[in-house]
Amino acid sequence: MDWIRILLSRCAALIHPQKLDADLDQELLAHIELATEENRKHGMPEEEARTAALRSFGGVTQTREHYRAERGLPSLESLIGDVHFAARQLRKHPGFTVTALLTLGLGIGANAAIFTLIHATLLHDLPVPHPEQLIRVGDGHRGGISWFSTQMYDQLRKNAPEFQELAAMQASSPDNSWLTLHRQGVAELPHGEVSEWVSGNYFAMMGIYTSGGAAIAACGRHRRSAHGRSDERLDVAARICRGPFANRQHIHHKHPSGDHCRHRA
Amino acid sequence: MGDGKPDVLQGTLDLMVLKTLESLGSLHGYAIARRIEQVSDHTVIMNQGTIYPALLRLQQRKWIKAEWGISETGRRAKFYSLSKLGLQKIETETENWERVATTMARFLAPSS
Repeated sequence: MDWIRILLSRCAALIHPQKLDADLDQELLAHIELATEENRKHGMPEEEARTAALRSFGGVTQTREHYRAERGLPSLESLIGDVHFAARQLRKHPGFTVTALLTLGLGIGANAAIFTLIHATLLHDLPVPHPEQLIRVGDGHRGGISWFSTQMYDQLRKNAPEFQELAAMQASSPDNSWLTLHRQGVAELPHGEVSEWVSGNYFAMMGIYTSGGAAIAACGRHRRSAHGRSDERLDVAARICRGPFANRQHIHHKHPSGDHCRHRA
Repeated sequence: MGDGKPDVLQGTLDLMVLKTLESLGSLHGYAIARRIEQVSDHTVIMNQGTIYPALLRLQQRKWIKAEWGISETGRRAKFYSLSKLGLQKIETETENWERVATTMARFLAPSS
């Protein structure tokens, strides 16, 4: 318990150091005076009595320093002193201050920008209702990505009740990845967009629904869309994908019959 | 702040102050220093100033309390006296010191 009392007392001593210093000076002065008086009483002349008193006391300055070090928190006080000194120096040299501040500002800013980028691309979850429930099925090689045949996918889908939903996306098909889009009733030229094949349940699995119309559900119905004759449903899906999904997920579905439905993501 | 003296000596001085206040009641720093010099036959305190950091340590522990008063010669001085806690501590501190002294005496006794 002693250490708590000592700590509290030392903290309290930080509040009015000047008053405590004055108190100490008065106390030490009284000590010297009392000693001088006693020496005088023993027959010493004034000057000698005072010298003897000082000698038996030891160093007054030394005692004062020792006392002050035990009274407060010297390391904290010296830290405060350092901060004051630094502030004074910075005020005195504005050129250096501006340079230092700019360097710090740019350094912190660059770090924050890079972290934001990394956070958004690598660390942040997909912007879907339950990203924590999404997993990618693979055999552990190539960063968890595996290639499955359509038959295998169908087989897994039928026989893996552990999954709420299982969707597939295109493995790799650079030749077919461009889709020509032309929106009906909009004055714009047909234009190409990067696209992927996905299974019909892809958006439902992600928990993404359209506010109007319908996203892809069954496959064969959308086949013609792949050839540039856009319909309303494709338009809706394309608009969904223009947001946070853009350039992030390329999706794929291949129907057992060989029909394809295609969407840009 | 270490003053280069072993801890046991610092503790010794604290106990001397406590015992002095116990036997003589309220005293100012100079009187305490003089009393210790006299009792120890001038072998203990080389500098009377050493008494003040010791008084501060005891105050911080709340073993003693201090208040300003007037000395016997009419001078304003700070007077120290034992607190209730200090009275209790004297007992344990005395026991501690006696244990150390007995142990040291055994080491220093000429081997027979």
